[in-house]
Amino acid sequence: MILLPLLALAVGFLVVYVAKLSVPLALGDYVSVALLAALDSVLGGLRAGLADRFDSWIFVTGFFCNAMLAALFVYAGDRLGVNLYLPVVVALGVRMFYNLGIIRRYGMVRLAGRKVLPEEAYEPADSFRRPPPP
Amino acid sequence: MGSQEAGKRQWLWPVSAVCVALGALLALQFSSAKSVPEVGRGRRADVLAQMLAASQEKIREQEREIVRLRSEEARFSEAAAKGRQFTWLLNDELERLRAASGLKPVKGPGVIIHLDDSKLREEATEDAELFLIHDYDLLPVVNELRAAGAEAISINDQRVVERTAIRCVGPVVHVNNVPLSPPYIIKAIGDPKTLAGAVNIKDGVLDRLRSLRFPVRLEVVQTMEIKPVSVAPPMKYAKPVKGPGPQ
Repeated sequence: MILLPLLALAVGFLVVYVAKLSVPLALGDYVSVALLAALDSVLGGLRAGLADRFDSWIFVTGFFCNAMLAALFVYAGDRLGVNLYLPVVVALGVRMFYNLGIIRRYGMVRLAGRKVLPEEAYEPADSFRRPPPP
Repeated sequence: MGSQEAGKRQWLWPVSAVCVALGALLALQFSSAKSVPEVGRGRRADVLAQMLAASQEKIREQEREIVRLRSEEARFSEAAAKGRQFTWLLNDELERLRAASGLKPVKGPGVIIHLDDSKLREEATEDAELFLIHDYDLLPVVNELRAAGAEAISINDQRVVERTAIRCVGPVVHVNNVPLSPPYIIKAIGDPKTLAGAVNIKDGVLDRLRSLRFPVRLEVVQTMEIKPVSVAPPMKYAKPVKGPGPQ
């Protein structure tokens, strides 16, 4: 079951690699931030899945919104002469490490059978939540 | 347990879908990063566009030149019919002056200098400019060759004559207003030993380029041909002064 995302990763990689697709040099930054947005989404989704509060709408809209905002930042940065590529990398990077930390905690709970820590320890107050079932 | 299973299945497919995109982007970035050197080797679209525009302008200029030369030829053949002896003398003098001013191909011994953009450029992303040959890299070489008595010089078959300008326009070097792309091959006819010595002197022009890690190659040849300047620009403002020349 956990192998399916890995398989999907390999399929995506191989399709593009075998087809020898490439993007123009000028669009390299956009691919970079899209890559980061995708990686961030995967880690965020994994974390939400482990927390058992995954919502596919939040996941899908989050992926596209983040990718678009990141692309907008890069474009605006290009126009303004300010390297707005950096805040995208920093913001997504920080979040990826944070999500990885939480995934690690869940992994320890599941695999090593350590005592389950209270959920609040994993979930900060500002994180999104699905509305509670009526 | 049932809800747990449903929850697991719920995240699995969207995450896998984004994983496909992630893998595709990874491969895209991977292959784009590999193709950078190829794209960056002085043949970028803007270079080609400039070359196209310049060569179209060149063609129009040459068409005008053809018209001019035809009418000149008609005038000369008429003159030849009038006084053959006088025309021969005049023709000899004309040939000599044409060779000196770069309007005729010339042949002789000399040196060939090969210059290219630095290989470091392929790795550089920020300061790729630093690893390109600029006008200010070519000018001292030409200057040194002239000082050493070179009688004819060309850069990528563009003859360096009295009115030649060597300068960067955007990403390309123009010589005689013709855009050139690397590698630059500078040919100079003169005494090969003197020419080679002049440019190869310690801490001289070629040493400077070598220290910047540009690939430089000097070749001494016993005979080579240097092409003439393709179009001699007409003189619009400078008019010859009537009367005896300097004696």
